Amino acid sequence: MKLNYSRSQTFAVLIVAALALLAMYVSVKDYGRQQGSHGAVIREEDNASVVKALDLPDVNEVLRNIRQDPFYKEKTLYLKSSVYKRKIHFYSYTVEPFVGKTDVYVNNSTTSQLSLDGFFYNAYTVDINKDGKDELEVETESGHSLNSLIYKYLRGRLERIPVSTENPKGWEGIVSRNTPEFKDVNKDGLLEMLAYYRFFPPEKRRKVEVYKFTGLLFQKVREYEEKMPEVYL
Amino acid sequence: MKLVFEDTKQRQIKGQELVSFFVNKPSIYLVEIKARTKGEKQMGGSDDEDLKVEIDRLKFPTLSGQPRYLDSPAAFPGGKLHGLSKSVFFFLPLVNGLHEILLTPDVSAILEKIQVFQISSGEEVSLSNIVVEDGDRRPWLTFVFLDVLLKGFSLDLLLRRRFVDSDDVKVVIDDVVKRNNRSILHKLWYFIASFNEEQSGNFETNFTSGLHYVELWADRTPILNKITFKGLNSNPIKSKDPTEIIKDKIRFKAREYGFDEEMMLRIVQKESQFNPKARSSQNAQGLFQLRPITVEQIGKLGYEVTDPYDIDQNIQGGFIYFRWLFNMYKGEEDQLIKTLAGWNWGHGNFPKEGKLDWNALKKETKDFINFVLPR
Repeated sequence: MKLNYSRSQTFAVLIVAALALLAMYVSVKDYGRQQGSHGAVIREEDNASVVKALDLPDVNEVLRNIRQDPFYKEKTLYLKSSVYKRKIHFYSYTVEPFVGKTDVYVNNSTTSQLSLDGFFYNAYTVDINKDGKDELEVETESGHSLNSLIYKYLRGRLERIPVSTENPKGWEGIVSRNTPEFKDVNKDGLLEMLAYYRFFPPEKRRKVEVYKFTGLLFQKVREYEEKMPEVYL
Repeated sequence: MKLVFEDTKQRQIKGQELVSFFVNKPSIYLVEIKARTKGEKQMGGSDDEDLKVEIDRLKFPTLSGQPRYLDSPAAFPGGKLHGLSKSVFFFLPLVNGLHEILLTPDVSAILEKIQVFQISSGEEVSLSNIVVEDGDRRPWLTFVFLDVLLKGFSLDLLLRRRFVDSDDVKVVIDDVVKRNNRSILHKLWYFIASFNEEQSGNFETNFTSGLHYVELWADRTPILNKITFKGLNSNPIKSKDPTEIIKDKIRFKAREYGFDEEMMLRIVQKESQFNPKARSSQNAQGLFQLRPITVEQIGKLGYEVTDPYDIDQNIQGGFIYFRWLFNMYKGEEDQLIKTLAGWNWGHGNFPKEGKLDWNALKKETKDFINFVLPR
């Protein structure tokens, strides 16, 4: 079948197409400005698609008691992928003196996905393997130590990425006086995890362990000592 | 004079007892020790009670050159006191830091009080209204001068005259009895009530260094209205190294809390190398490297650490936290090791009960424990 269009019809179609492209461009640009990320159109995940029973408008009701704790802490950040951004809430409270718990909620769920030992210290998102999906690093503190755990979001759950040196009988992730850093050490475009351990003062050195993310776990690939300008505590 | 330490808990001492005190400034200090000891008869025919005193391991011998510490004017001899009290006042220069009084009884002794006063440079020091229990001729007050300058002293006394046995006071300076030339019967008692009830006297000493004793003996119930020391001074006293002061403070606090001093020192050495301004990249602060959350929790136990970099606050907070952990493991096997593991790693990270699984501890915690408790 042969379609005949007049010049004005063709012009109108082109105008509509151009406007549509312009609208898409503005939308993507706005998001990029707002999120500084991949340029894809991202919307906040629909609560109902994650949590079936949402009787409460938000988690405040559930967390009212936690917020009575004078050492209560909370933080919210967004875990982004190419399609969704997920709101992650951290609520930390005292179980008994010097013992804290950190509960992690995803979106507006009234049930915590994770209940971690230790007071909440900090949390970051980082795309370690540059697949367009953020990983989540959560840091809690107990005693004089910090425990850093890394999670990926998979099938609606935060799943912990194990570390090759962890001890199943004792601890998970990285336990140190300091928090790990993520850097592209070998310039392959992917990030490695660097864990730091202090030396006995007054030595101005620290031990560095380098971990490569294999997709399943963080595998220690290197260990070295480095001089520091000051005592590394 | 400024009171810097006081221990007024009256108690019987049967074994050696160490009393610690801390001074913040290098200066002359007056250490007053009041005690009483019983004689052989009061003890039922056994040995006399005696008490000797050492300050910072310095012993106070007789001036004859022989040690005989229990016969020293600085001691408390039960054979002479017969259960009555005596006060010994030690004037000596002390550096800032921790100091110790070691009390060593022979059989036992009753300690009544210890007070430590700081004396400002050039300050005229007076003690007044010192009363005494009724008793026959015995040592009453001893003033010990160690490496201090003293030009002299004056005494104002109140003596009670009686028909029989009035009050008398003997003055002995460096084993030399000041004689009374007005009475042949009482020539060894400088102040006798039969002359006058209110009497005073001036005595030159010109002590420049070394060890000197001024003794007052009492017969019956004289009252020392006032004794004034003139020209009391010392050669310049060097300040202690700041790190040594910190170590002294930790030792002092360890004694107060009943923890091993060396262990607590090693914790601080490991944490901060005794640097009160130490701050880790993750904001652990001060000598004990207290984390802000720990500081908050210490506040919950009743002690507010308003400045974690303040030496005294950090030490106090660190000890409160350590004791809290230690008490939590009371009755547990490996109580101390668990305390150290809890300190380093967090006590929520391993089971409170049962034997500690050493293999489950992270390397840093193992290193920490091995450093603090060398095996």
